[in-house]
Amino acid sequence: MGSNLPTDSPINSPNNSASVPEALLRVQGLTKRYVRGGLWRKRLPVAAVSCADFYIPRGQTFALVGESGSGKSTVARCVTRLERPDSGSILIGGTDIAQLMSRDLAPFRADVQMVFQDAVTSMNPRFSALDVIEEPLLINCKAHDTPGASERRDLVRALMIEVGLSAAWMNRSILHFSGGQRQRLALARALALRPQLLVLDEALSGLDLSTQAQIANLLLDLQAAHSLTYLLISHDLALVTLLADVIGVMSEGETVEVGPTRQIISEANHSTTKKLVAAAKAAGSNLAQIAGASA
Amino acid sequence: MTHMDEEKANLVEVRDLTVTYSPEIGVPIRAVDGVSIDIRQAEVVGILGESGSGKSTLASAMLRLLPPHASCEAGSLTVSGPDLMKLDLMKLSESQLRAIRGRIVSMIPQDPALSLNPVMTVGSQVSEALRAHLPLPAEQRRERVLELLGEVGFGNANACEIYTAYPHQLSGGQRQRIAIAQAVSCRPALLIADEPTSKLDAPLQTEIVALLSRIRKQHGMAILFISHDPALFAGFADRIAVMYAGRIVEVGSSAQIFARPFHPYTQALLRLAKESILALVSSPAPAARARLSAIDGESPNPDQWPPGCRYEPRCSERMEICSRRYPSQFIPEPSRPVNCFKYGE
Amino acid sequence: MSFIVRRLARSALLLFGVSILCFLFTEMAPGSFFDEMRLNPQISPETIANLRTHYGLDQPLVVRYERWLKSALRGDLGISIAYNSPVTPLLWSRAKNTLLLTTTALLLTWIISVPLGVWAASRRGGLLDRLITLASAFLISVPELVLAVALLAVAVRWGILRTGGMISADFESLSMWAKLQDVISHLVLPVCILVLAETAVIVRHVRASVLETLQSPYVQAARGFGISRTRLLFRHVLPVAANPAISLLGFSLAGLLSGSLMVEVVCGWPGLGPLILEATLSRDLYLVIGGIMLSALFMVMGNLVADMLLSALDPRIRGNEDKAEAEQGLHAA
Repeated sequence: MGSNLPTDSPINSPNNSASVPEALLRVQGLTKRYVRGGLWRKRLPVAAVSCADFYIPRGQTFALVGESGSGKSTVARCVTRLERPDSGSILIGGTDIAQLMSRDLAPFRADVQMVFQDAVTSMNPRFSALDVIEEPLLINCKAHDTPGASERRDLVRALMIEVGLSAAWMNRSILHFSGGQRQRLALARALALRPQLLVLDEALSGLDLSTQAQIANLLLDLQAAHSLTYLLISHDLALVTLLADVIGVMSEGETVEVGPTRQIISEANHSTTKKLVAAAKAAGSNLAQIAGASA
Repeated sequence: MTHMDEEKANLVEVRDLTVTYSPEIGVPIRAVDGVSIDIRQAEVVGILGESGSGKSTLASAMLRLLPPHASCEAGSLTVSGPDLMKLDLMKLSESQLRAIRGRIVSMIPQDPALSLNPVMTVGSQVSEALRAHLPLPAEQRRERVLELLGEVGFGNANACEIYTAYPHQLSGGQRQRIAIAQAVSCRPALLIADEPTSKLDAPLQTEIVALLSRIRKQHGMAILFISHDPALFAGFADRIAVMYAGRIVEVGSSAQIFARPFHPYTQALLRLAKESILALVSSPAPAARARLSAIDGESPNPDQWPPGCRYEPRCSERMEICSRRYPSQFIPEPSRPVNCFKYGE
Repeated sequence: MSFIVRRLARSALLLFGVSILCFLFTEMAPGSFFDEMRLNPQISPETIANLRTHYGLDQPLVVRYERWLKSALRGDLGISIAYNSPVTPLLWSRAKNTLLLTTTALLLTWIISVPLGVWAASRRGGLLDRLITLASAFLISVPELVLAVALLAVAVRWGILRTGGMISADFESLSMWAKLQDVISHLVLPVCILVLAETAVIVRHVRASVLETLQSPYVQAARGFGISRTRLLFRHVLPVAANPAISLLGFSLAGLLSGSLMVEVVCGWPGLGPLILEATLSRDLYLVIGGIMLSALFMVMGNLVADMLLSALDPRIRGNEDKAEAEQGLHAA
């Protein structure tokens, strides 16, 4: 995998099929409704995603941005098949996983891994770093090719070093890790099965600025080393501009605008995009002015 | 530390505040270690610090609202009352403190999703502080609450609907507005805002800061604004105190700090903040996936502060002396104290 | 209100399920009422067969269940083989006594444990808190039966309380007032046993729930606004803390019911307990089923009351039930 990295930014228009580079993930017409209520209650369908369309070429970073409640996290949960979408297709390397049953999904679980915003709650608090990282190895490998205990330790050691953690901390409880270190642990866990696509659901939100920068750099390094493909879910446009090749904007369950990062930032079309860009710029403009004055 | 320019009287004076958490298991943790800070009347002071720097503990300590296993010592912790009498919070009883909380010093909590009572209507929650401090008949109190709701951005028709709503019916931004209405209901002299935007989306963050700025101009209250994001201070804070590992390492006016930060930590943090927004504001260059100039390493653990400068292990300009003892306060420019050996010895 | 209708419908469904399980399990259980007769050489197999036909026990399970269900819906729960009389009046005469016992115990339990739990939590770590925690730990770890026997022994030895039965032998000759006194004096012992056992559990839950609420960010925030301690406790903490405690109410009723069955047997209280025990031992089919159904009914009613209290107290529950649309409107605003 990863030998045919497309070098130029893609033009995300479905009509222009000739120039479309090989897509690792292609999401088409994805919909997902949650039904509130139950057996005795009036059922109220709440559309979380009404139409999501985008694709990510291998080795690139696609950022899905939008306000809270716009449905971007639901898309992430559908792509990782934590949720089953109502309709639409999710093509991973050409196979539609949208409606696969859990047994047939197993091979794709290893290819698509997710990193959550809150690293603390996505891990068992009684686990050590070793337990956390080797967990996917134990779960996802078939009984006959599960690596042995010492082999697993070596794998975990390599992964910890790769994400910038000291391997000497392998047996420490995860409670002793700081917020940034836990996010590194979460990345190591996600990388354990050598996935092709990492879904980062607000994985950088809620972290301090310096930690955020460290993790962002780590993501860039990992992408370069393993030609990883990222689906980045975020509400922070400033951060997204630094990481993403292509940005998709979601509003009320729809992908309303998709385009190269630069184009989205400088020539936004949709009102939601304009709003997000304006807010991000307003937040930074004062600082930038002062910075400019001093420079 | 800011005795030189007394154009306005000090509202709050904190001297050598130290807060120690003594957990049942493990070593005691000095979360705040000898912090001194002044806040003048109607001034916005920003505390810039990252997680673990002790900034939230400092906020709670200023209201004497620490959990039972925390002990708080201070040279002094005074607040000027309405009659300009200085009240030393360290010497007041719990019931005397209650008379100050919400009335003279008030706080906006961090997470709006958790800071409102789920079974009380918005109206009754906003009126609680009023009820505690100002004896008003019920009808007048209701009027005041509706007024307050209008003040935080709920229009007239909307205010009545919000008044009877429950927190779970509101969005995160709406809840934070309610929390602000609660905090300012008795027109406190000092409002402590502990990361009031960190759990909100980017567009909402600017809205909330703008709201705080407006309320402050209207009522002339002082604000202690705590955040890890320098961008939020710009254009809002008058002065900024930078906190690192339980101590204040640098103080200065907002313009001074942004233009010429003295402490290597502030310099690195601001460089980072500028980088991450520069691509956005001056977007001409295509985003060439440049690595950010991150600060390496982690801030030290509060259970074992290093003996020397606490930033020394991460500092790019460290000197031999830095690891030996903590730098005392140097004042390279008037009103710009900084704790770094670059500026003296 | 549609909420109550929905809950009622759910309760009916639950009772329906319980009745099916009842029939299945009593069918699967070994032995029958006639086992003893079969061993008796004086009773011919024909007689037994006739008896079985008489009570309809020769029919297949489905047919029997269908018949039972039809009559049960009219309030007739079949016929007790041992008593040779309809089950419903038999159960009802006993159920009244059980209800008297359990409702008294329930009320007292809640009247005692809520203030105690709140008090312990608000003075956490104090002498009273430690005392309550210790006492409840002790009471929980002692089996209810041991507690019952111990109290009974004390009562008998000291002769302070009437033991055995519900009324004295000369009950009929007493005046109205004396009758009441007589029943109460008999009631004290079993109620004490039940209240002690249940209070130990509920105090802990109330205490934990109040403690949790006291530490919640919104109560901390309210403290920051200078709200007085008492008001904080009663206006801010208790309504939230009541929520899990009330969910417990339904369970505590179930606990009281099963507990009361045992206590009734020990104290000789003429409630459902001794009746059901006797019926189970003798495989008196319809009486057993009727007894279980009645217990299930009590429990369902208890949960229904708890649910209604919850929805009255917690706007989030109400909101989820019928305010979904209003909520969306508010979001849009």
